[in-house]
Amino acid sequence: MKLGRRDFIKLSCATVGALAVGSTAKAQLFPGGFPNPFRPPPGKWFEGDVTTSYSYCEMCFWKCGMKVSVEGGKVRKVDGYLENPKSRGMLCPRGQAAPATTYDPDRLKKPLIRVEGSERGAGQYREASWDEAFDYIAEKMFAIRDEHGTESVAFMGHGTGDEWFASYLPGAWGTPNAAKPSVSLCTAPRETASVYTFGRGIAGHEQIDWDETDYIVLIGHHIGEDTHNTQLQQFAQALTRGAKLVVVDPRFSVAAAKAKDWLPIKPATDTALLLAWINVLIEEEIYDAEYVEKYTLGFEQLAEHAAQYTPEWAEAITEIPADTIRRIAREMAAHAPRAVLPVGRHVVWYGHDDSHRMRALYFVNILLGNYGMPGGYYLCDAPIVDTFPAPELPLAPAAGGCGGGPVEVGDSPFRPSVDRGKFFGTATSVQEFIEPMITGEPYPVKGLFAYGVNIFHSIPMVERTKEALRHLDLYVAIDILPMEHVMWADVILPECTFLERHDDLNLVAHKTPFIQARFPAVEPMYDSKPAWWIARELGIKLGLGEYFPWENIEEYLDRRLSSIGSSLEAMAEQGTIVRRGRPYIADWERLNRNPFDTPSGQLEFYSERFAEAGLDPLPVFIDPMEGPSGYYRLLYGRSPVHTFARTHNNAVLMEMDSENSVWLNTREAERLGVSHREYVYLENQDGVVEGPVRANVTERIRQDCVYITHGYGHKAPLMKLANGRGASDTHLQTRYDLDPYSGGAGLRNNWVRIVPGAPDPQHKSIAQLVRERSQA
Amino acid sequence: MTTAPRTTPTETDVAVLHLLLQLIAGTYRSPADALRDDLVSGALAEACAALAEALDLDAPGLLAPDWTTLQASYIDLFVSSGNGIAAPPYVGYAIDGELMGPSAQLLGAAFSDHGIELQDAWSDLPDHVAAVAEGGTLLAHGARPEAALALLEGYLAPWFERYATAIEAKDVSGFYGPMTKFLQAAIKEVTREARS
Ligand code: SF4
Repeated sequence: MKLGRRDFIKLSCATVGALAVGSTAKAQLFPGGFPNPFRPPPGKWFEGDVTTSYSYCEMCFWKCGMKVSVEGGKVRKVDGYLENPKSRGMLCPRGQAAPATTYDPDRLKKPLIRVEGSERGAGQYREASWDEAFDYIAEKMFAIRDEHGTESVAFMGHGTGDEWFASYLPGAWGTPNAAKPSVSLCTAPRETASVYTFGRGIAGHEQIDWDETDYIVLIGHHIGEDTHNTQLQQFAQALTRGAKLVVVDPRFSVAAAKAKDWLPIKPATDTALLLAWINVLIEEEIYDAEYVEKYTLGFEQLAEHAAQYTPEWAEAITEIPADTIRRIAREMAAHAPRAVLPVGRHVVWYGHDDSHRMRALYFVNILLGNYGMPGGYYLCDAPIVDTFPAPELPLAPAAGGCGGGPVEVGDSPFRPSVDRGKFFGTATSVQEFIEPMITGEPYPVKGLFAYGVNIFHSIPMVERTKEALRHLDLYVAIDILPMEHVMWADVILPECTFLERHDDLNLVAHKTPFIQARFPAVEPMYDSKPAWWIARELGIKLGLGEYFPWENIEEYLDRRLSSIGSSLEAMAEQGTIVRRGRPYIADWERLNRNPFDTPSGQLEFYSERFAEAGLDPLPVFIDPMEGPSGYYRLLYGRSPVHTFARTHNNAVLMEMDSENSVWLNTREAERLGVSHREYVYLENQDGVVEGPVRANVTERIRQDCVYITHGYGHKAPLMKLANGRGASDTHLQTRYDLDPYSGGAGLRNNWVRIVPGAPDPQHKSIAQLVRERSQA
Repeated sequence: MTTAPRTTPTETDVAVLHLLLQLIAGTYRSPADALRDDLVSGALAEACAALAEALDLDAPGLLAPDWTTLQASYIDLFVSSGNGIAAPPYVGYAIDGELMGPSAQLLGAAFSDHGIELQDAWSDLPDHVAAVAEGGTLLAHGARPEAALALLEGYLAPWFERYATAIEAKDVSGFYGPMTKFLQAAIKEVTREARS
């Protein structure tokens, strides 16, 4: 080798100089050189035979279409594919990291039954066969039924398999107490508001016409942190196209960093801002009068009602200058109908206020004339595929979906759900199951199934939930990992991961409605089983075999697909069937059809049904619950590489984001003497303490609130990567306020103070834990 | 079957190894101002020329890439692409077909043994090709050139072997394709010379 006069070429040190790694071994000498694992070189996996199958991702519930490549019996790679409208060829990091969950050595491996006489939560289990586990569960369920009735068994479910555990099996068994956290702890207000305004729900795929819009106002929407693959792709493309962006958020979010205007609103006052925008659009007569005249009901009442909500009134509440409020309203109007305020997903913030806020948001969109128009909200319905022929379920549907549609017990012989009568909507509220477990009112809940729901990281008042679990006669957890709540169950049933199983067809309401299928790429590891199998086998043990007349899932899926002229074999070849949609009002009018399924057939500003129920027929602003002085309102959101509390034992994702931090305004940090990245505790208004958690001292948040990402702070020693990292927002949520319209639990009514001086927990790196785990 | 270097490397060997690892690290990091500066100033081209001269190779014919195209190309090749990325940028994945798999773990343990740790600010996987090469520069610099050479041979070379062709085929920037071809040739030459 030779290196001449240019021996000392200097590249920019930032290009290549110690940015990723640092050395702590200044003068050490290391005998033995660097280990080389390829002596002799192994076979080249990538030259082996690769088989590919279709699936859809379950790492979050956007459910992107996925192709799974297997070599040597192992999943080697997952990719999106272009023909699938939810992935459009790409997956987010969580999707890419899916194999790391399948191959997570901490997975649940066999059915487990709690050791007789041991405490719930003590984690003492014995292994059991599936048959024994089902016998155990059936015996307890029959005992509960005989003493209290079938309704005294409740079901909670989240994920694709929840159709079996939060709808089908409860319907067959006969309990209306089946619910999904994705409703009352997430979307309920937006769905109730949508159904009573548009006559249509929002459901799992927000119908924003990103490809056509020119002006976007994000209010309560953390796109970029809340990462839904194609939504993010389309949002990015809209900005690249030149669409203007305004972000309303107490925090300078990722999206705010892309915005032309960031409006740092005082938390809990968004409804006031929306009402002021309604005021300006109407008072200045810059709303779409023709659209309003043609498609809406109750405009006169709205105009009269909104006259009081001037920008000056809103400024005093929101701390956003009246001039800015007016300017943004005028800009929206100037771009209408290609101006849109997208609906957010997690909207249970303040309880009493949430449905008002969602209706006000929809009203601004309607005044801009964008609902069912290019650049606004498009219209969509899910494709129709017949169900498998089976006897009618005694009680169906049990739980609403994400859409949280009305669930009525009607004339059936079953008692209504335990939360009936507490609020106007009819979807079942998952958090309202807890008190009846303890008090027995209105009737006792004595059995509980938790399918894929982390009940200690979703339902507020965790200690109360634990207390409720102690009162049960039966608690069954069906999951993939030994989450903390799982280790409280009487029976633990290990589900296999989505890469190892079939699931039901996914029917997606979309601009181009589509059907996608999931095929197992590899056999289930250990003694884990898919949800459909668990539900069917348990159903048979419960004497409900007539409702499960198929022999296996292949027969079930093939029969369903035959109703649309397809087959399981055909789906194995194509993965997705895409239909033509009717996204705009004009598409419906051409067919002489009305897309608005409200009582009036119009978009309803004024709701007679709310008025009849003694509720406000028009949205109002209600002062939020306040907290004690010296405390900050606790806001929470998402990490872009994690989903809920589900992905925090995934080695790849934890390597990318292994603990959360609490965002604290710089001036508040100075006042408290807290420095950046120092560990602190968070203590809420009821004395509950979480942490240690790092302080993220930043100008990017207002002084009256703090923010953490959700899903951290696991207290689950068997999840070796997740355990004990960061702080849990759910554990700090010891009070909530019920939305009287939707039954949603407003979770942002909790306040925390910062307690400096927490010890550094000296976490091992994720890579180190992974190494230790594999050596063990 | 590979063998360990037989002789103690000379100062020039170390300088060449160090420069090669620097160039790998700089090329596959997410493109930012530093790379742009080195492209604009000609420092990168000059470094490539020096390495080429040292190894009797042809220097890469770098087009003057449009910066936006280069950034988009990086995303398309290594991060996310509607047609599938050309090269997952993880050396352990190239070897095992698994993220954070056995090779990534061995590599992490070896770095750790050599006192090299990831910085907190690094939010990608530890066996990202740029981070591994950067770790290699510290080894080469820190009187452990044989360890840097083993790293190059055992971990970086397989990544190039696995993905270089795909990168060259898919690159539209005129930067990643030629650089990858050149760096792969340089790795071959350095390891060949070290073993000769
Ligand atoms: S957005 Fe990401 S995690 Fe969610 S389904 Fe798509 S690829 Fe999977």
